[in-house]
Amino acid sequence: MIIDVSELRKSYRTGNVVTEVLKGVGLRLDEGEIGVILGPSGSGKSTLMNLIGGIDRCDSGKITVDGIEVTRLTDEELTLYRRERLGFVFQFYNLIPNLTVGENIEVVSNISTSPLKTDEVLDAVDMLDKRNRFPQELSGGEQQRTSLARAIVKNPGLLLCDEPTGALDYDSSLSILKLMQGINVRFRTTILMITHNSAIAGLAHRVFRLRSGEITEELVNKSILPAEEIIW
Amino acid sequence: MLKMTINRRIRRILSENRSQYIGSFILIVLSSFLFSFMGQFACNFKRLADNFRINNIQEDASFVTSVSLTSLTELESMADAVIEEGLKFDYQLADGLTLRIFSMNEKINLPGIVEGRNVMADGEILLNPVFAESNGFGIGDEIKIHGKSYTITGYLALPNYMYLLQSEVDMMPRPGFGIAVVSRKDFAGFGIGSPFYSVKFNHSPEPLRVRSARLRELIVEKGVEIAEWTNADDNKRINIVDAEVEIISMVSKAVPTAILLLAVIIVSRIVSRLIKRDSTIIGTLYALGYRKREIYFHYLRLPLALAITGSIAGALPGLLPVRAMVSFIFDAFNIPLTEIETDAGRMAASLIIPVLIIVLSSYIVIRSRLRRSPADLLRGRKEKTGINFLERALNLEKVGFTVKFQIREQLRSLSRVTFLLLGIAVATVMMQWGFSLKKSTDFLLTGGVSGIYEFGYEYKFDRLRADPLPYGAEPFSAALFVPPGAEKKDLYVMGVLPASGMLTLTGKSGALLSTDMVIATIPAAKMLNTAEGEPIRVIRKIDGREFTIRVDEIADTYAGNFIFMPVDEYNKMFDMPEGSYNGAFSNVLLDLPADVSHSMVTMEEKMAGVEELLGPTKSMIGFVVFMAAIIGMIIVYLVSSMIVDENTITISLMKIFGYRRKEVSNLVLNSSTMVVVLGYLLGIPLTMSAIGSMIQSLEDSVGLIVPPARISLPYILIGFLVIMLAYEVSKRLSKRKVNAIPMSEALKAGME
Ligand SMILES: Nc1ncnc2c1ncn2[C@@H]1O[C@H](COP(=O)(O)OP(=O)(O)O)[C@@H](O)[C@H]1O
Ligand SMILES: [Mg+2]
Repeated sequence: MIIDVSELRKSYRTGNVVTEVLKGVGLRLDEGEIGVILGPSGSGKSTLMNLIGGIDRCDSGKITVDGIEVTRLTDEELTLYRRERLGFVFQFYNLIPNLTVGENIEVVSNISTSPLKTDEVLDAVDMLDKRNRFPQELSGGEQQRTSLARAIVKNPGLLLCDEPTGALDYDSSLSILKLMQGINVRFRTTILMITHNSAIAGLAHRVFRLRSGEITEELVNKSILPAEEIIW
Repeated sequence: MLKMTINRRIRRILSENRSQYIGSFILIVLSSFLFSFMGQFACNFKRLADNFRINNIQEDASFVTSVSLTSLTELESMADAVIEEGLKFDYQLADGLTLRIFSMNEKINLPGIVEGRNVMADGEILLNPVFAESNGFGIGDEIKIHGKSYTITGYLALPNYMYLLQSEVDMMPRPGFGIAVVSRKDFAGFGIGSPFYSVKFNHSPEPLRVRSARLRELIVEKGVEIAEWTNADDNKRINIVDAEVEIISMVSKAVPTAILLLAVIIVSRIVSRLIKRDSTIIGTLYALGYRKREIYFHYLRLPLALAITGSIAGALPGLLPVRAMVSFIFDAFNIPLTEIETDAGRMAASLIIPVLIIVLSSYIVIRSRLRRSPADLLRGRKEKTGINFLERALNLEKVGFTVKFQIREQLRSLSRVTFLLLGIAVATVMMQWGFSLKKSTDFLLTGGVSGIYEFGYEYKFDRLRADPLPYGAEPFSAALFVPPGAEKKDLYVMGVLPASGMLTLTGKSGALLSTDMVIATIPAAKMLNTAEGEPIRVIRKIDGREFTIRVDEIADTYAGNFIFMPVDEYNKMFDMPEGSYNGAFSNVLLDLPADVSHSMVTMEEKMAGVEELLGPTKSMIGFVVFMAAIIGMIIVYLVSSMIVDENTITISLMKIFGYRRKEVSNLVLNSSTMVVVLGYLLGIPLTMSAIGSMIQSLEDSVGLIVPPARISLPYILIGFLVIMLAYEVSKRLSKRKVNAIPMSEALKAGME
């Protein structure tokens, strides 16, 4: 078991108003699996993922990733945790605009202990020929493919993707999903993906439904679809 | 409604880019302050000097003759001039203290009273203030001259001694030299003193030089020999004032301009970014029928407000230290400080020029940004910051990631990197200029004479002598010459004993040069534009006669404008009586008969008080270096802040990826290091050319030739350390900003 979340609570305070975003969430995912968190906007998906990713701190509860109790780590330890184990993919790609595609990958490999070769990951996402392009010269799908390459260059144990297809058209989305499934198979990378598109759940091993800060449904997918067969 | 939105956006931009806003404001204030302060300083300096010259009737020329002139009135009407005979002698008050005492004039070179009152009765005396104060003489005190007591009734300034040089060969006044004036009657009581004449021509359109030459001829026609003739234009005691005013007004324009240029870069940047962000709104406003003018004016309001407040906040306080500065410089220039006035033109310029330049440059930026069509503007939000040609052209495949990232970061904004480069260069120029000030002062005070003179006393006689000198003394003959067509520049040709033991001159190779040849110092050779062995023409100042000299060797020294040659050869070449001389180098005090009118300078005096004189210079240098460091710090802090502000998402992203704070700071903030170093290196040649042009202007206005600008290695290193220190301090301040950026910044990116 790679991810084990239990009784996770998180609330935000804006002024005098306290919003309870996560109300005792529990979730488990095995190594090598793809997990999808489904839920409407504002249900707390990103909050949950940020807590697992060690970007934010919870109020109470426990998160264990690969045997590490993330919720008890100091800031410095969290930094190391993110650096050594996690890959991130964001909805809006977040590429550094003044760096080329290749250089964007190097931002991550620069601090990894045994990164993959830049060309290798670029080839894996079919972006090798655009290595010297700048992000603004790429389509959304190409930018997200670069971002995916950046996430896997350190060969992370866990890939966290927050709405990776949220800003893409159908074809581009499909190619991203195909790549992610390929990565999962090829490198046995555990992937936790957020989406509000329930069709995407078709390629997941496990699906969690989040509603108003609570997991309302957990589902083990018996018939995993290849990405290219997903339709919406 | 939309306008309100824009206003709110402006407020937001101001708070988001507070450091840029404050930084540009400080630069505008600083520029205005210096422009106003130094400009008013120069104006007052010039005005006070000019008033003094006119009100106290400064001479047009002065001269000394071999015999007294008998028919002054006749000569006056023939030359259409006022001529007044004066008397003077140098009195040795104590060891190292020389007082040059003048008889009171009535028509020309009238004493200006700086403090106290003029002499009215016998037994009263006026002293120049610096001499009085530094030697403990107050108004009302007594001073003993030749055994008789005189009451000091006041402090004076003389229009022909505004720069208190003891000898015309000197470059700087020395603390042990002063001037005094007593009544004619008292002076007669001394029973000594050599006469000299001051001339003031009546008004006429003819050039002074021509009239001066005509008067000389008139005197010679009378059969009177002229021993010395100095036009006011060539008199260092007078014309150094003009040179100083010129240098101050040069600096008062150059430094503020450089600082204003830096402010322009920042303000243009703020405006440009503001418009880029607002392009959708602007497009909407156009679409709604707003006029271009309204939108232009709208975006000009920010730079206008910055420039107006900045120039007022700088120009008005700039008036405050003017009096202190004038009185500070009047320790070196003896001119009465009657009143400080504010020059309206300069004041207006200090207020208007920054506003004009800032607004004009902003206008150009706005125009170039708003040239696109409304439709384009509406679409503008999609258009991300472009990649500039340098970023595109760069091939960094072979470079390590850190360097690659840092280069990309710096090149991302050309205006930012230009600002940093120029800013550091300006700070460097200021600092090195300050250092070179110290070096040239050192040179003027010591280097000029210490290297070559090997005697204790230098005597100058007002009349030619032929009597033998005692053991330990060597005669010399000297006269002033000018190169043809350059009357401002003058040099001494000196006849000295062949194989003189009083002068140590070395050639380029370091070998000792014997004075049995014709030897020129470097400044003299440069002035005449000559090399060894070439014949050159020179004009004797006193009578305008032309001679040809051939220089055999050039001595490796900058000690004044001299050509040395054997005295016998000198007398022959210049038609002087054989065996005659008009000066002596000596290691013993000469026991001269009372009627031999002369002046004497001890070498110790020349060296004494160097430290004392360096005092104010040192504090000036300290101030300049401190200002340079502050400017450097402001600039680096500003650039660091911009880099942080423009990289919040990148920094946040790096934190998410697991970069440590130190690693982020290293990549982002240290990227400026190379530009700072480059800016410093750029500053060195700029300093050279700045100092070079200053030296040139000194040479042109007073014919002073000083060694070429050479920045010494220790000062380069010290300056570098100061700049790097300022850089480290401002980087430390920016580190906190880097640390404060939350990881959520990147997560929010693209959401709005
Ligand atoms: N930093 C924050 N401060 C205050 N409220 C927040 C913050 N982050 C998220 N929220 C609130 O928490 C709720 C869940 O947000 P989020 O986890 O982003 O939802 P989702 O990703 O499912 O759309 C939302 O109501 C949001 O407004
Ligand atoms: Mg979300």
